[in-house]
Amino acid sequence: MKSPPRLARWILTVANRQQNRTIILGDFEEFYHEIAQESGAVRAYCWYWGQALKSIPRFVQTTVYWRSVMLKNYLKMAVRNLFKQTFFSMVNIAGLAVGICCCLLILLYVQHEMSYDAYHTHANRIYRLALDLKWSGDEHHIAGVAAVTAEAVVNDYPEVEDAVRIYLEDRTRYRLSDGDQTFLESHIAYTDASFFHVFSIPLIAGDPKTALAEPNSLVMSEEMAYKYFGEDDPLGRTLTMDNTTDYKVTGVFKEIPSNTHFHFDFFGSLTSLEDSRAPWWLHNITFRTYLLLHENADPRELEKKLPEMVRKYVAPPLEQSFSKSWEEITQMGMGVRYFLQPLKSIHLHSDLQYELEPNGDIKYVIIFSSIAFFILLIACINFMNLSTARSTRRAREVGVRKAVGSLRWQLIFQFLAEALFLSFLALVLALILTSLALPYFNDLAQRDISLSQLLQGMFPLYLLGFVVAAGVVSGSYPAFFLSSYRPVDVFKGQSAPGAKSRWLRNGLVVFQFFVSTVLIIGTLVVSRQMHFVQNRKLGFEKDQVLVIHDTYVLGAQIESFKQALLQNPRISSATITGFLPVDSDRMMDVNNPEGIYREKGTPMETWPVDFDYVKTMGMEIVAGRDFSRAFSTDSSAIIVNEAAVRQFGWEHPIGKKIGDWRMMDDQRVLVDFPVIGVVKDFHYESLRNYIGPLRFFIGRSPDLLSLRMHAEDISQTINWIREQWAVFVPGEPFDFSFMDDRFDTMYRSEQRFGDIFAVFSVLAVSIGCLGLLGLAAFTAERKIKEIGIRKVLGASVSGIVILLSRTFIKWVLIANVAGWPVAYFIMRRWLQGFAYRTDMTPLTFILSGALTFGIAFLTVSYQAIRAARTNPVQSLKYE
Amino acid sequence: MKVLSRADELVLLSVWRLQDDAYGVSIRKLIIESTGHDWSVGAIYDSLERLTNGGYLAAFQSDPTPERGGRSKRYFRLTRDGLAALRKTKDVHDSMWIGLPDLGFDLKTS
Repeated sequence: MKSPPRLARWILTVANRQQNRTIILGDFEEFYHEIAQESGAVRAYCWYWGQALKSIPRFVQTTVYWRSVMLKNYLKMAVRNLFKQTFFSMVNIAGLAVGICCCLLILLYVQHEMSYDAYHTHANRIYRLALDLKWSGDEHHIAGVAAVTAEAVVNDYPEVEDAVRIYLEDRTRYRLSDGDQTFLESHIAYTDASFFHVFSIPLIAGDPKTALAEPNSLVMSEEMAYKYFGEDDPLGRTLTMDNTTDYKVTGVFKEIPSNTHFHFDFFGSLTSLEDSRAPWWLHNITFRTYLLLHENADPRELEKKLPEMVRKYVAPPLEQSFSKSWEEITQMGMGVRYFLQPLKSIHLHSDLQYELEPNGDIKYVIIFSSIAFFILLIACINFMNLSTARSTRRAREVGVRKAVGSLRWQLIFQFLAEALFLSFLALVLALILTSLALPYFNDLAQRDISLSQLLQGMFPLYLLGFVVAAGVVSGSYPAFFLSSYRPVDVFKGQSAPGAKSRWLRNGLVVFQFFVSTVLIIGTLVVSRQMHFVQNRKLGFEKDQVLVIHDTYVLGAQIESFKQALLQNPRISSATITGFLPVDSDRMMDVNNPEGIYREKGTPMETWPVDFDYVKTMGMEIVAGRDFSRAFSTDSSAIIVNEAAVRQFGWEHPIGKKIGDWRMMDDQRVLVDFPVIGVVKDFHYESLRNYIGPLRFFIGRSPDLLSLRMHAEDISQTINWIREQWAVFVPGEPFDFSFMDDRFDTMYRSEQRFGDIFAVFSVLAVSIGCLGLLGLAAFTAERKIKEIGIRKVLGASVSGIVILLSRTFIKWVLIANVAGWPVAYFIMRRWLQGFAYRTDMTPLTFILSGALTFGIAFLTVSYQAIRAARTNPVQSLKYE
Repeated sequence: MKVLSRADELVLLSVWRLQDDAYGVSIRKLIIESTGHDWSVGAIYDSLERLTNGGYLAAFQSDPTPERGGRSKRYFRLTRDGLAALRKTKDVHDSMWIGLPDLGFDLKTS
């Protein structure tokens, strides 16, 4: 026989639950069957549903009404408890709010990092073609390829729908002029017409298909268009670059989103440059080439076919010039391998030579995420700790509730609801804090994150889930713990229920301070390393060197300009070269020095300098002599650094020869240059890298002019130089920097890392201390009578303070000892990223110990002293 | 002890009449049969509930039976109070009826 409809039966069940009348359901079922027998199943069905519908008011009442009544009660209790112990509640909510705020900031940061280049319509089909080059033991991973590669790839592989090249010239500054005014611009790139097809950067004026097709076309950002042309229509206008070439404006794009791995203000058409038509495969490999694959093309399959390309195009010219077969050449140690990088992974996972911009690093994303996680954990632990500590005060409430008939799950629900209520309050506070802190955070992280990101996509849901999770995690322990009280015990007044949880509480305090210790040690090590970097003997004097930019505009006058400047007694020396031991021009060349590398050659830094370079930079010649105008042969002489001497295995470097292949009358000839001196090793790159072999030669490189000045009246001297500049090249913008500033920018990411580390460790410690403060206050309160009696019996204030602080201090010390090895291993790994680094001294650890100890002691003793100083009459007057 | 309402009286009477087989379904069936018109489930159960709470009826459960979807029956039995209430109601009725037989039902009232 058929049973009654399910849904209707459920409604009846719920509606009748309240008065324990479920048995009635059996009666209903019997009626149902009876009607079914007498008047048919349909009648029975209708009748049954009719009964169910009639009971709907009751159903609503039981499901919603009673619950909401209880909820209202829970809420009322939560609010009362909140105000009853204002101090605890504030500590609780503030701690959690700061934790959530940290977490939010970091989550925003992580989300922003992960979103790089994801907005392009074809993001999943775009790959960057990159190059691995091996040459006599030296490996290079390069983010670009040669100019011809793009065309060949599109022609040879049907998987590739389109390709676009982005090219930067060997300089960083351009002078753009619209006739009336001239500005210095540094964010200029050249690209193919397909750029706007591959990348989803919309043009707000101009035709994306043809904007960059013609030579000497220029597309600019909206902001730049406004800067040059104001409200006028920029299309069709002309900008003159470096007083020589005219570019026609053919398009305007909206600003490139901050989460893109490149940012340019101008794109010139690549066809304008002769370099873009260079036929060589291994020459000028800095064309960043992006491939747009067809919908169902498999990038791995394509990557497997790329060695064919090497064989087909790269190998033949090399075979010809070495007159050896490609196999023999590869055996000599030559290796050429093309590979693909998915566009979206470039920002976080790519760290090649010639990146368009310094990229982010997945390591930092992971480190910051874990810091956020731990800070939130500390905040949740606080919450748990304080709630359980307070639980004794609520034991009576639980007892009464249970005696009146509350079930355990109802109590659990009540405490969870209370925790959720508090965590929502904390969320509101955290959102306010986040909006206040975001500008500072952006500054710190060098990102452009907006608060509106909080509302994008799934974020509000995450946020909600996150707060509920925080509430449940932090509320679960007190909930289960409190609900397990037996009313009998509570009313008999025995067995302080808090005693059992003391171990847990102490364990949690240990954990909090463990995390804090690790963070503090991290901060100390990072700042020590930064101090080390800034104060290391670099091999040159970075202070009081003024660098004038764009001196190439002086043309042939550059030498007389230099002489004119040297007339000023405040300027002690000057040198003309774009190659400085800070962020500036670089040139790698393969040379054939005497000795082991004579045959194969080896890459080394090759810097064109002038006669005053070593002197102006404050470098030291350790063997031989400096370049001198007195020797006419010095124009073809070389100075190497100590690293080169070591690598080439020279015992007596002076007089040794370094060979360089030159083209003479269509013939490759090895020309030898004699070494006349050895310069002491100096750091020309960040201290992350070892010093490699390097050579100076007398050459022309007019990009920068560096001046060593006396310390006094620097600004006056600069003004004087500016006047001289205006005399030589009137109307040209004057721009300069200090070498030590340039030096600092090389370490900006480390500096930032250190700053963020410091901020978050301060936060972690303060959240931990908030918790400790709460716990100490609680203990002091519970022991108030004991303290009173002790004082009556003659205990001193200091004795009582020690009594109260002892346990906490013990746990903090244990946490410290536990944190040391962990911090040691983590920070050792970080330091290993530096070729030149400080070591971690025991002092660092002791200092961090002293710091946490001091802070914890101050926190606890504040409460302890307050408790110890209360008049015993106050605490004992009821006895 | 107050006089029972008509519905309560009918319910108590059915319970007494049914003796060991007095539960929701059989009670409702009996009342429907004897009065001749349909009684809703609610009407019967409300009154059963009220009478049980008032101590006129005692309820107890049977073992679960498979034909009722595995649910037990809730049987009712008249308590001493219930019996007393019935008797009292009957007395009231009787006293009201006494002295009226001559009038008969065929009396024209107006």
